[in-house]
Amino acid sequence: MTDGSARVWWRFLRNPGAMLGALILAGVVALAAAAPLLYPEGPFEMVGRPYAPPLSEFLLGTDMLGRDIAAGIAHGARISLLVGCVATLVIVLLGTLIGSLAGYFGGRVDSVLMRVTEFFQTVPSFIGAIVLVAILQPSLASVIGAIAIVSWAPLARLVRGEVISVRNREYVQSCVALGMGDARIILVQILPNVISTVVVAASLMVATAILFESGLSFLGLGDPNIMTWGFMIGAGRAAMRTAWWMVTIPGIAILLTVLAINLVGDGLNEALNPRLKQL
Amino acid sequence: MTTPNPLLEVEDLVKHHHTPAGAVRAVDGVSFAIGRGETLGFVGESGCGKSTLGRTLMRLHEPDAGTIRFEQRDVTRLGRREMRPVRRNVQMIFQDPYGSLNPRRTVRQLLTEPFQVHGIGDAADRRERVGRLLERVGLHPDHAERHPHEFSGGQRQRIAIARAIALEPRLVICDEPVSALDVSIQAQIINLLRRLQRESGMAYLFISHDLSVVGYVADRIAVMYLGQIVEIAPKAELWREPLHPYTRVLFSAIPLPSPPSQARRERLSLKGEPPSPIAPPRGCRFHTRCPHAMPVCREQAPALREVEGGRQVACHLVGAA
Amino acid sequence: MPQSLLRVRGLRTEFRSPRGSWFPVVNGVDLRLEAGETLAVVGESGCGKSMLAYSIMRLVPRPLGRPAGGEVLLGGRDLLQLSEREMRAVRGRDVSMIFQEPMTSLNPLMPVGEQVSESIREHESCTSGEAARRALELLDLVGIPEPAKRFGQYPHHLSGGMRQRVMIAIALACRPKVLIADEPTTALDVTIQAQVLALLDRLKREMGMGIILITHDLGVVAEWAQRVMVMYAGRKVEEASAEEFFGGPAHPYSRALLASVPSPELVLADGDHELTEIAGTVPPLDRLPQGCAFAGRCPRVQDRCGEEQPVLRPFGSEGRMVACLRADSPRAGEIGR
Repeated sequence: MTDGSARVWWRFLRNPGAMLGALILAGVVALAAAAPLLYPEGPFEMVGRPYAPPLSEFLLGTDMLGRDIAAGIAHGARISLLVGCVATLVIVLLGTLIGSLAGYFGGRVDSVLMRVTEFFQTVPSFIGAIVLVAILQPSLASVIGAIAIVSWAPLARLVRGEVISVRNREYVQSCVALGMGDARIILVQILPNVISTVVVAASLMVATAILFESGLSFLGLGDPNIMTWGFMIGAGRAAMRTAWWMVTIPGIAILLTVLAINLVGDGLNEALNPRLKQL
Repeated sequence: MTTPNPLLEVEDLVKHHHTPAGAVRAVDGVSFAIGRGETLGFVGESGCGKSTLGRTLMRLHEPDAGTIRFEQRDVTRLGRREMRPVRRNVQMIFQDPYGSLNPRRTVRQLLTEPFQVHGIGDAADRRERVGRLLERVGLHPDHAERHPHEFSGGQRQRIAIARAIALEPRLVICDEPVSALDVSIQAQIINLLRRLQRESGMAYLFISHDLSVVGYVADRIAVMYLGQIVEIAPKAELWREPLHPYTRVLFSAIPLPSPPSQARRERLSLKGEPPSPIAPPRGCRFHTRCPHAMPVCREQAPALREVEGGRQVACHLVGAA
Repeated sequence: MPQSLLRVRGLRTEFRSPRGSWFPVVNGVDLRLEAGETLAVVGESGCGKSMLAYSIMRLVPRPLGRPAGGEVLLGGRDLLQLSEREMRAVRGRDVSMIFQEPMTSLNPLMPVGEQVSESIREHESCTSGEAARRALELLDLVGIPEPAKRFGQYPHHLSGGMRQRVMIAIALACRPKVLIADEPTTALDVTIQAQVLALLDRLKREMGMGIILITHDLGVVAEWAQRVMVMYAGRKVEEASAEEFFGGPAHPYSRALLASVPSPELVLADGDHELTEIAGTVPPLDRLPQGCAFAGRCPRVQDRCGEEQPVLRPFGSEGRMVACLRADSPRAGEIGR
């Protein structure tokens, strides 16, 4: 836990899986960043004849309306990453706040917060997200909000457990004995010792959030004005038998991105908590 | 003994831990006082409540009943904010030098925290104070930028001591401060604690299971059994002649490093196991294991009574003699 | 000289450093144990005393460590040459070991009586009824009250002292010739410690065992051991009878160790008498200095100590050994504490 960051990086860099994941992820990020330059006309523009297979005049072919699938993939990457990161950020903030308050103060605060957390945990998360988006009207913000609301509870529980274990360490007791304020103890003494767990959990949550977003878009619950991978699969599924690429290519994009994030997450876990791997 | 103008006065302090199995009566009616610059040792076996006592005095646990007076002021129910100035004067050293320092902070950060919390000095002044503190505990000022894991157990305990004395407290509660250390390192830390006390005149409440260490460090010793003090006396008197039957057993069990041929003492052994602190025996808590138990011991709990020369004993036998 | 019960010669065990090289944690240790004798092995953490025990038992953790030479002779056999299978039969039957923390060495999911009878059946063919009967006897022998009731209880029902007694019962199940006790009472309270050590002493005499008592507590050594062996940085630096050792240790490290414990005389001598400190800390074993490993902390160090590795040599009376260039014949005034 007390290793210098140099050693953590070293362990991460030596992990082939993590490096592969990081490489793929870097590719996705580069694609997302370059999307407006590569495809300035946007993903909805009908640029060619419909049903063009890959490697014809278009690298990845076109869909049934003649839209360039490569443009969709590039612009969809922006949305996937945006939703994944923003939703995770909200989850981390919410989960850490609730988890650390419950863990640190214990007693009644803990019981109330944990009952709330349990309530959110018992709702099946994907169905919960569908209901929320349906109520709130599909938009990018409502999708992100819905994903965050149905996913923070497990993180809050995780943080609470870690905070309780750190809270009882003697160095925290010695800060109480010093007269240090609660906020300072939580922020300066406890959270830095919990952060590695949160980072690992959050990295895996990015992947889940991307899957959720794709699922919602597939069901037609995404923002109708935004091109996403899930939307592409949903739109292409009617033509799956005749034009496999409309479904398969965005599917591979989701698969690769989620796999890459999971590899990075596992790599972070091993780098930050090396004891799990030893012996 | 009534210490005139005591630094810390504790009366009938009670602290129970609530567990699914019932209330553990960890501290169950403890009264004593510590004078300025004095070292009061607390000994007893695991589960006697000595550690809980230290933490309750520090208000890391909230007391269930009784009063804690520090410099004549009742601090038993002070809120966190009102407690802060008191904490400046009462500090604590923990047993585990690996657990009592935040692994992510540097030594400088660890030693600056006391000044930050109490708003003492500016940055330059705090820097200088940290340097002085490190020197006082026998470390090099250059060590300030390192993290705790770069130090040995003994050095870490020195850092913990520096942190505890940073605010020049009048009382330091030492909870098994040398138990996790090797003997040669124990001697270093004990000597350091004694030297610091000579320099600054602070009082120690020294909790340990090691009777030799407590005997060496303390002026007076309190012996605890199942949440209560059974005997409290100046250390020389206690070593020469323990009065309470439990104290006698405890002292006879200390293995002494002297040639086997010399001083073969009579070894008193104790029957059975300590009773559960959830349901301590009625009457005298020691009667179930006491070799001298009388009918009255089963019925009536003996009070801690003054005997002679500043000694207090809680035993029907001693009172009658 | 009659054949010793256990003889260890030139035992060496190595560990791998983070940088990949091997360094000794037990470095050429000789040891002799007679029947009915308690030999104490003392030293501070990292001196190699526990690894010595693990090496004799051939329980050195792999791949962190490896045996690297020497002999462990028991009943005419060298334990280091046995196959793993043969060694398994030796453990528990000929040599047993008890550990500091009985909770981690007991199976939490099995009643304690069954754990004792299991260990009997491990080494001897007998019916389960027979094994259970003997397990009950053993629980009684180690002083567990109401053994029939305790037989069916799980380790977490028992106190620390009771668990250690169960461990002893398991260790003694097959009447081993040698018992290695690694800090058997360190986790226990003083009154319980006295009970457990008295028990070991009684069983040793009744069964004619030899005990290797590994401890850091010199008081325990003085009261229960007949011979003392001091280890520092993986080597034996002194060996003596308990009487001679506590009368006047010869090695400067032994002397400092003894002087750093608060004695009753110090307790009663009111005043500013300081405890003797040993300066510095034990050097890391993978970076030992040249010459004597204690030289950096030794109050009597000379130039020579930094160059020459002191060998163990006879010192004074029969069987007494010390590894120090400066340990000359004991003079009365110098050696007292």
